[in-house]
Amino acid sequence: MKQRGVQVMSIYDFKVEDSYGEEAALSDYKGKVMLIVNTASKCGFTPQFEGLEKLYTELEDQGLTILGFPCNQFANQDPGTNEEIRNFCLMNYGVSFPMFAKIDVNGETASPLYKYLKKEQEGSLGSAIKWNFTKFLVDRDGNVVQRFAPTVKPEDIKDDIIKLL
Amino acid sequence: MNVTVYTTADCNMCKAAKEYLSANNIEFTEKDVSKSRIFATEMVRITGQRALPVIDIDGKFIIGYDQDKLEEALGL
Repeated sequence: MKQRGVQVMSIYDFKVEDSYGEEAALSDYKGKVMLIVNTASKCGFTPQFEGLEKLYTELEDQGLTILGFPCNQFANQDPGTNEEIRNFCLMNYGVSFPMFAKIDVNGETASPLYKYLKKEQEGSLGSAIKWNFTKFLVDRDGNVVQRFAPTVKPEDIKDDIIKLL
Repeated sequence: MNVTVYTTADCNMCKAAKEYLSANNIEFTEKDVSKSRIFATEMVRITGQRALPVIDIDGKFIIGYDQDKLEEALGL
């Protein structure tokens, strides 16, 4: 977008790395409602992966896409989940929506996309991402309209998503 | 004996399977499905499922880190 000769950054300008290390562009998702989630960088079962997958299968044909970005920055904090009870992991964390290469979401090494998302939607205690499964909701025009804390379950975001579809 | 282990990133059960094989001096080829689309497609095509690790012992598949089944298949 250009306004009076000043280039204004849009979310569609960002390039990211897919899970195989190849370049992908956010512009691929123009016109879709995007739910951008930083996920736990573990292939163990987490209930939120299932919740996100359920949302995706329900609403994908209406224009929802979910973009998952694995992140290891919260790995040493107590997970409080039922991981490691199974003796197996699921390919691609068991989800069918796009998952990308591991990134940092906080600090100097945070990916440019996350620096942008945090600027657009500051959380309640400043803009740093607090934990895995923080969610950013982006409308079909690329506006970052809402940010949800990790504790907000995917199913509880459904109505906010439907409003944008 | 030809042993191939399909693994993925950040997978503790995959690490455990590899450590188990190494501890028993069993040579294996590792195929990381998170690094290669070719390995990922191959794994799903050959095994028909998406759980990892898969330990392929001369065409016999063990899904997940199952020490009992591994012992049996490897003759340990």
